[in-house]
Amino acid sequence: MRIFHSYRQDADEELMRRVSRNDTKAFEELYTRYAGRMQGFFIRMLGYDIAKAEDFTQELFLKVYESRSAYEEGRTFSSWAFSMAYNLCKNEYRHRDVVEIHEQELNYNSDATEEPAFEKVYDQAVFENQLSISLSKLPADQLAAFTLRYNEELSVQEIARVLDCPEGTVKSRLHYALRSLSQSLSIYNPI
Amino acid sequence: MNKLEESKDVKRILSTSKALYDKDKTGNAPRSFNSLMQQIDQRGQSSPRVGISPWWLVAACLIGLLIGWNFPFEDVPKSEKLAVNDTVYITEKHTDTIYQQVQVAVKTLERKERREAVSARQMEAQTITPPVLRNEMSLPDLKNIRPATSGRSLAQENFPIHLLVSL
Repeated sequence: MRIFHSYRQDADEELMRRVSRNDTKAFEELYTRYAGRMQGFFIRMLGYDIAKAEDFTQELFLKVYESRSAYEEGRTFSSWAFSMAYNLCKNEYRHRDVVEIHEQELNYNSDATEEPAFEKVYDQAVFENQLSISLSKLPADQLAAFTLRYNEELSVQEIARVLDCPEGTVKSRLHYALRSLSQSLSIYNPI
Repeated sequence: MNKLEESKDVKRILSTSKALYDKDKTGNAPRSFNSLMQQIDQRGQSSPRVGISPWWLVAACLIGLLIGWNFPFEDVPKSEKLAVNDTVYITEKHTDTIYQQVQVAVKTLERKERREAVSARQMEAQTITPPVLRNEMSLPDLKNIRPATSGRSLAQENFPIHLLVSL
């Protein structure tokens, strides 16, 4: 029996098993591993609202702790946590004010109609800004699939489990997202 | 999709989005673990869970069993019942009088009348006896019979009462 047990080498699933036995240290280790990732996901999914992303991260880990006994053994912790995070985002989309969305859309439209200056076309900062805007304009399911695949580097199979849809649907969402982004950012590409 | 991923412009998009994502993650550190635990404690205090002990459940079941065991559901004797629900059917049978003509052979009856000499006092004693007199008094007065509102005579309506009195 190890008295001073180090959790750093344990797998996520093993840590979660310990959390279900009210092991606070294991929960802290999980928080250290995933809080940053989850917050990044929330920042992306909630339109770069940092304060809201922080609140959602706390809320997510509260839910993880409260439903620790409901964790199914054998399921990947990352896909379980990301599916909970995605559900939180979906709830947020449902409750979001319609007027606010309309205003945002108007702002994006005004940005999109703005013709970038010639010298700024190849500027990386402008490109990043426009990419952020284009990402925000993507539908929620496409944005989630894109973020999980290309930023969180999850497999298509894992994404299908997170988004609760078939793998084919994930692939088509990724395809539409990539095509939409490349079309909206085509003017910034070097000839 | 693989072709799309390998194209130059999409590669640039993917690499830039990854860089942005990492920048967002590192630039905005999450809140400390202690603040999360404080929130968990606060939530636990504000909404304490109602835990029902299995022993309480067993005790409740036993009490219910005892109450049910002593409660007389079907074994109540009939004499202790407060009310008995019976259905009473009232039927009236009415038969018309049927007359039939019967031919009877006419015979002349010869009757020998024998008269005995009885004193007046003896005769009175035989005919007017107290029970006979009582019956006479209790019977309805046939002279005053008149139809009642129900269609029956008063004598008919009072028949049970007279019967009781005569007894």
